[in-house]
Amino acid sequence: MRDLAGRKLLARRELPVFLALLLAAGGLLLWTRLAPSGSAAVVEVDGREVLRQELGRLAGPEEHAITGAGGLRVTVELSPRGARVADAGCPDKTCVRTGHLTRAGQSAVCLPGRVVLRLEGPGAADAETY
Amino acid sequence: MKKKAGRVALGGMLAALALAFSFLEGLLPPLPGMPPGARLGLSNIVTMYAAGSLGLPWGLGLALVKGGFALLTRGLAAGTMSLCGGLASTGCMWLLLKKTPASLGLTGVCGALAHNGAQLGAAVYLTSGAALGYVPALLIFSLFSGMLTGAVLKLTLPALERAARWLEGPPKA
Repeated sequence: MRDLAGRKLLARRELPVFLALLLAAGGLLLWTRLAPSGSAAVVEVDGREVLRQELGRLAGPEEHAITGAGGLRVTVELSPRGARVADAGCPDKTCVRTGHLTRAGQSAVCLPGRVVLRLEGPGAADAETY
Repeated sequence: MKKKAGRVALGGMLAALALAFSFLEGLLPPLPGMPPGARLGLSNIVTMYAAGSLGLPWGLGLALVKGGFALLTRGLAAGTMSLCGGLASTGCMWLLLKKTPASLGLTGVCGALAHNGAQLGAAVYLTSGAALGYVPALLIFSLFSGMLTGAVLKLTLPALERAARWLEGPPKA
């Protein structure tokens, strides 16, 4: 079974595979960059919505304390320009490091607390308005 | 007899190497512009070697050890994620190395994609579809980290093979 040594790092016949992956990655990235800016912030715990805030109605930054699964405390900061997780009680702090969310579809996920902070675009609300 | 003991020693050495990589990776600062929580996956070099050279059970065993280590040091969520990703990527890389003539670079990239795909699946299962927002960044990151895995393995393979040969004794004629 020792045939690892006989393999190259890259083979020319695999070029189409790499090109397809690169194209898919570039296309997806472009698509997310072109997404409209988020108009509403939604916080979910364990899949249930616990907070929804229209960002346009905020006068300034506002902090909300969320209690996630297992009593984990997560602080989210909502502002007219976006939202971020300001602090989390878990050791990883992946959601804090996600940084500031500004575009619709962006999200910060705290897995230990099952907390999701995400931004929604204006699409859903507009559909009712018109 | 010597062969079996040597194999166990090799497995232990690889497991230690995988854990050391996991630990070192945790010390690195988060990469700018990359999705948070994205890790280079250096320990995948070890599972890739094990899956390709020692066989599937060894690779899966290493993934289990890695998952256990993450569970003990970083908690349940990280342990579950590590286990899902590790098992998926090991299985994927083993299939490619065993059934196809795929290059090491492609194997690394596919392993990274399987790793991230499984973790994303676990994240979606644990929370909601919001985690899918990470897909584009993870896809790009998989290409980068997978190539790195393949390249490092290509470079270190001669030394690894030498160590394995020495531990397992002279091959039967």
